[in-house]
Amino acid sequence: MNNDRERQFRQLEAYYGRVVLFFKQLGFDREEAKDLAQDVFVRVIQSRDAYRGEARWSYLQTIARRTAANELRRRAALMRAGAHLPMDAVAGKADEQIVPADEEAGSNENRKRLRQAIAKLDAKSQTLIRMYMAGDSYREMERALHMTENALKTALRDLRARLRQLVGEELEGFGGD
Amino acid sequence: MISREDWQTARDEMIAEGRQRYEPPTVEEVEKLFKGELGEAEADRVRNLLTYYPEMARAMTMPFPEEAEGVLTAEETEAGLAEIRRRAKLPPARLPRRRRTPSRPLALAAGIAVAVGIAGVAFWRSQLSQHEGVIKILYADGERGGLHRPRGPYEQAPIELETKTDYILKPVFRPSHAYREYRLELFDLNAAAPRSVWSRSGVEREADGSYQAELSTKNFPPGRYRLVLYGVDEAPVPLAVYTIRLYEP
Repeated sequence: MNNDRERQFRQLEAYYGRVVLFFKQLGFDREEAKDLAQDVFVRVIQSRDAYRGEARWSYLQTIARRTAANELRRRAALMRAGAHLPMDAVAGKADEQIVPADEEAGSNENRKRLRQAIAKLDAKSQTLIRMYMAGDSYREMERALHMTENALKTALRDLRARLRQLVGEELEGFGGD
Repeated sequence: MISREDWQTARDEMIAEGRQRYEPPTVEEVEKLFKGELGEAEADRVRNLLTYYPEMARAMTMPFPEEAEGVLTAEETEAGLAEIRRRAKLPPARLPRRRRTPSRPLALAAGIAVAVGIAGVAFWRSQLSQHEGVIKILYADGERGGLHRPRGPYEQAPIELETKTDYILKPVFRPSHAYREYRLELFDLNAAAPRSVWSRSGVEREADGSYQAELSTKNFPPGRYRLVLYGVDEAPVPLAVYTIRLYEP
């Protein structure tokens, strides 16, 4: 058994840096990324069903993704339970900026109208809008929605026109091209 | 005009509200969504939840980095791998042997032996290359299919080679970085302890991603063997393993 695990370790150790970088790119800090990468490697090495004909790098990626998603889910659950983690720690966004009071009032009104307009869309369109607003790349959206690139671009273009109609104003930065 | 900042803030507000109202989907649900294994209604539900937890979607779809040059220091890498060994209950890595400076007569004798050896190997290779070798492309353990026995654990299916045959082996492997050179070594697994029975140093990576070497199985008995590909910078690092079954046709 130990010979098998030693052999698995030797086959996998070259990938350690890439797995650490994967976690860092998802927003985990350096120490968290190393800890999580080590979790992944230990799980793979200890798994008796590690390679059911699947390439070891592909299997390692699968375990790393599951580990990342589970950790992110755990943190989201802590937030819901009132652990007061800053949202940036989970979603990796930039800090808030201070806005002058008059601009704040105008923005509040715009956001309110925008949200009311989005609420009038059907469920699928709302999903698409929220994904687009999250900054998901076309490729990620195509994959999540099982749409081709052309179908996605057409859907976003139609949504832009619909929202412009509902809000009554131009929408800065909403491409859909 | 609705500005980009309005978008961003509206999005943050919608996500914050959604997170308070809805639990995130499970990782299994997200995996099934991306594999297309959910019915339409269920897929819509999971997709909708994911919009409130975009970081989970990103974890499942973001491409893996192609390389990790400079991400970790050598010390961090060593410490991380040592920690993995400890947690996986593997013995600590062996330290490299210290080299001793040979005496002058010994160095001279060694130099002559190496020169004779190189000439001999070159002659042997010239003899071998005159024959037509059977080209065999090898994929590493873990990259090939396995054997599912009715009882007992899953096994890696070995590569089948015939005895009394001249082969041109082409083991395929893509290392995480380019090594100074590569080495192939064949271990006989039939004895109580594996022993090295053949090796080839100075192997180069070919354009097709293989590490070509000629091997004659004329003098090897049937049984199980293991071919190991090493990358060599300062010390050899095992990169890939190819389990072989040698049989009489």
